[in-house]
Amino acid sequence: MDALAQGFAMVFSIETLLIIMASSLFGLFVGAVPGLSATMALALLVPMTFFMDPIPALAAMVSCSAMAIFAGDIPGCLLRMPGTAASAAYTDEAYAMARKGQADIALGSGLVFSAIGGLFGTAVLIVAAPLFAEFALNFTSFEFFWLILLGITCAIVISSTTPLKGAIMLILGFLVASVGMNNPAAFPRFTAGSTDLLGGIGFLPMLIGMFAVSEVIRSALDRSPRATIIDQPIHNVFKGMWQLTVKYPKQILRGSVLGTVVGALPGAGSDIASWMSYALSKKLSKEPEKFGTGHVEGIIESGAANNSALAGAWIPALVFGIPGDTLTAIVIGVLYMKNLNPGPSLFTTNPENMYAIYILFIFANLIMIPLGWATIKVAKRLLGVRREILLPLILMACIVGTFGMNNSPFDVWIMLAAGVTAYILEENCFPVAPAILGVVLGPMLEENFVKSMIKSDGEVLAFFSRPVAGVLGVLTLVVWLYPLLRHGFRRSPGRATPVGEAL
Amino acid sequence: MFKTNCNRRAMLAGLALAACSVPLTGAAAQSWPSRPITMIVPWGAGGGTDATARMIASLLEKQLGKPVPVVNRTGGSGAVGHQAIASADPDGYTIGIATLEIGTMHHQGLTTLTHEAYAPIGLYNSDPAALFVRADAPYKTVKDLLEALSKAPDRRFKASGSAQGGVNHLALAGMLKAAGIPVARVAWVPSEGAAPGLQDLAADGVQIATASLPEAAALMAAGRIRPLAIFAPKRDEAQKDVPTFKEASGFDWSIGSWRGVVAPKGTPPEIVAKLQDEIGKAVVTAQYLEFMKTKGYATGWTAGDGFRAFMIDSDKGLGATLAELGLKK
Amino acid sequence: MKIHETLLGLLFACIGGAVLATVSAYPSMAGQNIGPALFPGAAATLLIVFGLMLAFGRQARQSGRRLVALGDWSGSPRHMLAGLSVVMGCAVYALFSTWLGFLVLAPVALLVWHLAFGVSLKTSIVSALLATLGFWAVFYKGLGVPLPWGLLKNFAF
Repeated sequence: MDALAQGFAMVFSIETLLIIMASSLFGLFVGAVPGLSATMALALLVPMTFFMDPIPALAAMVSCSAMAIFAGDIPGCLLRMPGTAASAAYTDEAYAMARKGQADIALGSGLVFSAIGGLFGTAVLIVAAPLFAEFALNFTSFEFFWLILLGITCAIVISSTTPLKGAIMLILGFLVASVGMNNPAAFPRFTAGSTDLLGGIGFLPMLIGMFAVSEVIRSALDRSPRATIIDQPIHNVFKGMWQLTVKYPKQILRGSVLGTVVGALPGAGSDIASWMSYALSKKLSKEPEKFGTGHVEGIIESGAANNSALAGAWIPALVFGIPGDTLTAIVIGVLYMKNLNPGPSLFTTNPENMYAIYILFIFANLIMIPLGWATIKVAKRLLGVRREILLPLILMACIVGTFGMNNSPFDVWIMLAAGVTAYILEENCFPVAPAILGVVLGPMLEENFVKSMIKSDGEVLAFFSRPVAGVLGVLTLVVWLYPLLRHGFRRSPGRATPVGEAL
Repeated sequence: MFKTNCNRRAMLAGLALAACSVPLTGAAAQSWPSRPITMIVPWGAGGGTDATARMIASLLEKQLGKPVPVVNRTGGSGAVGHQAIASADPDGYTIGIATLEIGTMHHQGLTTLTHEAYAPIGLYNSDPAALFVRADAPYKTVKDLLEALSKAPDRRFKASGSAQGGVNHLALAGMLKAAGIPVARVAWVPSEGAAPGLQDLAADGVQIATASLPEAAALMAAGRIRPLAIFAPKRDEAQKDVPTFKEASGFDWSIGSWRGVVAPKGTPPEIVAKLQDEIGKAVVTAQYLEFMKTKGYATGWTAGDGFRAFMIDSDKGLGATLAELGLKK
Repeated sequence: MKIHETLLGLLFACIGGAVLATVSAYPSMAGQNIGPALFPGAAATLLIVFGLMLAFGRQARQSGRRLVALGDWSGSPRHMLAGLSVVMGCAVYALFSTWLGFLVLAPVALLVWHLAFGVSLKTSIVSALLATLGFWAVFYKGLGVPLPWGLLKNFAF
């Protein structure tokens, strides 16, 4: 309990509270501006967290991401442009509601049920993470190897609409992460004799390039006209929320549970959770014919799902260091930077940090309600913000942040190269998320593979000899072989539609 | 508007350059410090080297009345940051932290840099490595373990605790060499730092791990792993019941990671002396000692020539161990 | 900017080939049965396979005939200029910031970007100057980030 008190003290210090406030507002702002994603908000925050203490840095990450995921609903509802990918599932629905003059209900349920979903996911995080950690303390490199492989497989097979392109991006991520001497042999790879490259290609500059600079380039080249805002007065967004809660308790619970579970799967995050939840809601609804015409049911369920997935995704991130989505991939980068290396021992070495993270999640989801309310109030002005003024500022923030972290011009080059590459590949429908997963997981996969090979003296069967490793290994092989098996049995020309294909 | 603005800036800057370029030698040392002093740390923010460096920087800032910003130049197992310190202007406005790796990197052919690239200011910390086994392992003492090792076939035993050629790997190899056991007897399982290596030990992935005592504190407290000895000339203040390797086995071997403040070679001796003075004062303040104690880091201060002699010694010992492991180029 | 799948696939396969060629010269770890070439080598092999699948798969045969199709920005000089200014700005900062210093370079870069994005001159100047001060305050003073002083080194405060 001493650790709990310490956790409280760390979160409720003036410095941390100020940072929570500032990063919440930042998250709400970036999430609400169409075209700027939640991932970009986090990527821009990273250089700032570089210079903070660990807990304030995590506070910034948690509050910014929660707020940005919610705020993505706003432009979705009023402009039919989802602010973040996690809102895309129900953007049309919310827009249809806004056209019917129900923008306040759409936004209100987005806000209230986001917070409820977020709190549910947090509760699961608090209960499940330490249990998993206790269990995972007995994991050796064999178990970790399979777990990482399983996560990567899920990310490609489940989450990607184009598995082949996803797989290529993942491997590019692996290769980029191979540069330098941060490998088990400590042998300098692909450095061409450069001292700068000995340390590898910096993760954070790459991140900022891929998620922020590429967006700036895209906007700079974008010729499409501005979307028009729906001009409906927004009244009290909380009106009728209680009735909705009473009317749809099952949907709220279902969305929260599904969101948490999907989030906790390594390799899947809040956007997948929200698509799956919306589809499930429609399937199980008593009035499926109303979906798509401005019906609130699906918004409630998948709104709860995307925020609960956010907390759920932190479970594998904290316990195993395996990211569920791009947001947690960034968080893992920050954890390493702060020497809070994720893994089961994180829970035993610094319990007070864990408590602080739990408290942060609860706190962020609670203050989301008043802050979100205020954001909806000024939403129209936010949506009208001039992007041509904003973009240069974002670009300068990218450069200054990247340069400042290591005082290295080389990092700025990496950022630029990553930005241009990500822009071109995205234009050709290559998903960026697998690449960042590859960068995070590639070195882990290699390290655990090399360790296992050394331990087993090159004996492959040893990879299945420990019970948990055996189960994980078989599971991974099944997921791998599943498409082949299915293909072999059915021989049908039409491929089953993956969840995200509706995009 | 933009044009005149720019011109005026350039003019001001030019004037300033002209004014300052005349008296640069003796007077510069006297007026030192007249602007912020950058402290380069070759390791990541949040780690032990970073934490201790930031502590010293903040104390120095108070004493000198000028900002001392800390810059992390990470990568290449320390090569990038160590190079950055060595190639900075030797004007007393860039200092940095050198660590044990300055004595291993050049042996491994990663850099040509050695301690000779620096003007030593002072050694402020050295944490000995220690030897661990799982709590339920049959080996109660170092002697038990060494006996088992001398009988076992090659590669039966696996050990972990750092990257290939890292300090903990060298600690183990040096121990085997000191005890007359072939170094190839134990297979080294490389890990990203001590924590994953110790976790692997706790989970029964390896049988032996080497790490410093503070790094292992949590798993020791949880009753999962047990220290057998520390590789130091004398016992640790906080863990009096852990014997030194010499006491436990009769063989002599000590090694530990260390951290010291250095300036680039060619920094004016007056400034180096002043830095030795000021940092020497900082590392005996109550605030510093309290900080180091709560984090579990050893304290001490060896300034100037003593530090140089220490680095020469460390370099030689590490080179010999690396050669033994076949990692010397 | 759309690039034909066959071209992209072959490019990836070539990258894979280059990686394989590079790692084939890597030594194995001293005293171990495994080396630094294994992981990138395996990844590169997969990349070659997947690259060829992309190059000659069903998708590639369906996609258009043109090898490279530029986006609609290629018809608008202003948008091309804006894109170019983003890339050039980053490059100039990487090359000259240590020498020129943040307070010299940032307002100029911001001003150019604003103008290239189509903001009026007056707004651009005000925004560029305010933003420079803002970044300075937040990063240098607030967070303690060592921004380069460059030409203004002797006025450092």
